[in-house]
Amino acid sequence: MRRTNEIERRYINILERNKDKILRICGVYAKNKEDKQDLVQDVFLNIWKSLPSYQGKSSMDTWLYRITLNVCLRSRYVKNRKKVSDLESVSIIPPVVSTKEEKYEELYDCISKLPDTDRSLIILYLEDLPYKEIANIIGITENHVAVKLKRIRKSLLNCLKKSGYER
Amino acid sequence: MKDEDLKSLWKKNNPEEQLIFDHLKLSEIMEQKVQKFEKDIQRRNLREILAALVIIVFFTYQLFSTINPGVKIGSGLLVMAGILIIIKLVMTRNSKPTISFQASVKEHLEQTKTYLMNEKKLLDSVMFWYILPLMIPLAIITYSNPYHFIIKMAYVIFIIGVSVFVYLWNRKAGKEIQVQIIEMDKAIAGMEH
Repeated sequence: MRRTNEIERRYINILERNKDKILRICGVYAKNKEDKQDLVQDVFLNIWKSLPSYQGKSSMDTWLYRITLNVCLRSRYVKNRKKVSDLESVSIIPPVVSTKEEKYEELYDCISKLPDTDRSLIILYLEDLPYKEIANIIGITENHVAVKLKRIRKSLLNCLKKSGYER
Repeated sequence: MKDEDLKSLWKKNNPEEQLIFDHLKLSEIMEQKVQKFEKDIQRRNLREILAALVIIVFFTYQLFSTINPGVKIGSGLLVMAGILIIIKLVMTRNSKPTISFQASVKEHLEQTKTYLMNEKKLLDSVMFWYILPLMIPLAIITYSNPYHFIIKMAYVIFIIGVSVFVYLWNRKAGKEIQVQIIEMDKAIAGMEH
């Protein structure tokens, strides 16, 4: 079924507004650059597939985080999943010279060392979402989010201290 | 180290890294991808059913054209095996759990785990719905044909060899899925505790 121009416009609009967010999250779950590109394309494809059935029951942000995290986590557990294959129309342009801050690298490394599902929680926390929305995205209670985040933040801070983040 | 500092650092992204996409073509390409995925699945399903249909048609003809009782029994069993395989494939497809990417992360993991468990069940039972129903009648037909004993034995051994290979191959795939199920179990349990 051919989608309408309205959906096409909405789709591009959603991607344009959230591309940085998608890139950040995929970066934490990707094993390498190619994997990151593949995950981003997979997220884009699943947003396209899911958009016509989006009924507005949850906020657009919740919906988008769910799709992005589900695609990324799925890539960790389902080994023989079908890949989107190269889409020339989506690409990640790497920096000519790496200008990443050292602190940024350390934060990324420490998040990447956390268990997969803990990563989802800390990512949503760092995205500045309230506990209620995190609970809604992950599918656990708000209290549970609070308890888990307390523990995950502690491990993250420990890792950052060890890597000399506060230098 | 304040949480606010971490949050702002996290949101910085790599300033030089850019995600670019073609605004004009992207939705069209995505639609093509979706349609290709759907067509690939339809084609695969059709291929599997067609293969079973070929068996049914060929051995139904054999069933009514041969006077050899052994070949008749083997052909009848193969027709039934073809029907059994189609029923099994259609039933498995119809009972496949839906996996929603719009579901919560925990729900999505549970859906994926159920999907993988179904796949594993299908692979684990391949001996009973695929290998034995095809190989036993083939062995009966071979044995009933008026070939030299050594040729018959060689063919039966070949059939057994293929069966063993198909079984082991499926078992290996089942074991790989089992590893994924265990990892998913751990992830789901990790969310609950």
